[in-house]
Amino acid sequence: MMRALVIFALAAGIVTPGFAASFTTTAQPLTVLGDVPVRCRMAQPLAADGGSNTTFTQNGVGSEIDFTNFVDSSTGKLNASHAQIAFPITCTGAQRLTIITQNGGLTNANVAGAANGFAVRADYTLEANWASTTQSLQTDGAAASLDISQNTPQSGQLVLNVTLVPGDQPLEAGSYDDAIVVQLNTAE
Amino acid sequence: MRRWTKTFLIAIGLWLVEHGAYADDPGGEIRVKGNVPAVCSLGGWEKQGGPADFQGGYDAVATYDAATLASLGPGAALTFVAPLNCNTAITWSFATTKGAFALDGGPSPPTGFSDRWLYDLTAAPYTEGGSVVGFRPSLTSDGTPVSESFGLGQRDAETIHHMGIVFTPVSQPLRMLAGHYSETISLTVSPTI
Repeated sequence: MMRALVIFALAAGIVTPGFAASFTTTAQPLTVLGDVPVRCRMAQPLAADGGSNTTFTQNGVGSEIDFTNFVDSSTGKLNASHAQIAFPITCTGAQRLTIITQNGGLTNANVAGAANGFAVRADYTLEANWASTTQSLQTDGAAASLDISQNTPQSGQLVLNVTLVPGDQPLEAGSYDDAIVVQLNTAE
Repeated sequence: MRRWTKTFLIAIGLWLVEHGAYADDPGGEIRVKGNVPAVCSLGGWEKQGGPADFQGGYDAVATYDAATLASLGPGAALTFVAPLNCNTAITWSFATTKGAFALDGGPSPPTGFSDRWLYDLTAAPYTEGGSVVGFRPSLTSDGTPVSESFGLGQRDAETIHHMGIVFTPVSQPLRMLAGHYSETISLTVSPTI
């Protein structure tokens, strides 16, 4: 981590008693210097709205979006659901901000692969809004990322929208999950 | 003393910068979760063929009229299907109430008469193409109620398109007592996780 340096440069006049009689007015400048480094700070995420069919929890262990009414109980097909999460962020300079979906969709880790017309992955659209810029992707089973970096200082909220994409295929029974990772670094 | 004081003040300034509002933050992670429950969707019964009037649905009723009863025998099969869609392993079972197409009440049959009509029964899950999934039980009733259960793993269960029952009264050499005859066949499908 860079250290900010606070330098006090004191230009002190030398006073010699022997010259007291010829004392004249002398400038004594005091210069104060400081460097504010490029730093970024990101606070814990917040639920930005109520979402639909969704709960959001945040604690010391981590944050979690739960789609509470994930599928239609009679057909096994995805229900339309949405979550909106906000990360308060402040950066004093240019920053690199990327949002990554690790699994590329909510996946069922206990099943080897889709078969017999049943799906083992629930895709969603991931939209990121930061500093008046919007980017989005739709998951397709592979890890993917959004780069929403900015070249200027910014302070505000990174807003993530996670929206399930209903499909025609029913899903196999089981637990589905993914991790959305937000990476924030200074761009120095 | 004065020099020492200066050094101390500068050190405090550095500490505040390092641990203050602009510390680096490596990032955040959100777990996204959803749960798909084990579900089976069993539709109502439909008649595919056979000599009976039929009221379909979940509690379906097939009714022979008197003229049809007189013609029952081998080849006069009633075939029913019910669509089924399961996303997990299942157990399925069928049960008969009487073990015969039997008279509801009435006196004991005198010699040369009967109050029950036996039948052949098969019940099985089928793929869309008509292949049996797993085991297809087949029995000839003997007047004793029957209940049998079968299990299917997830991959097999997912291939099921419909459940099917074939009910075929066998030849009845005796005269039948007058009255109302009935039998109930129940089919149950349960997800196992």
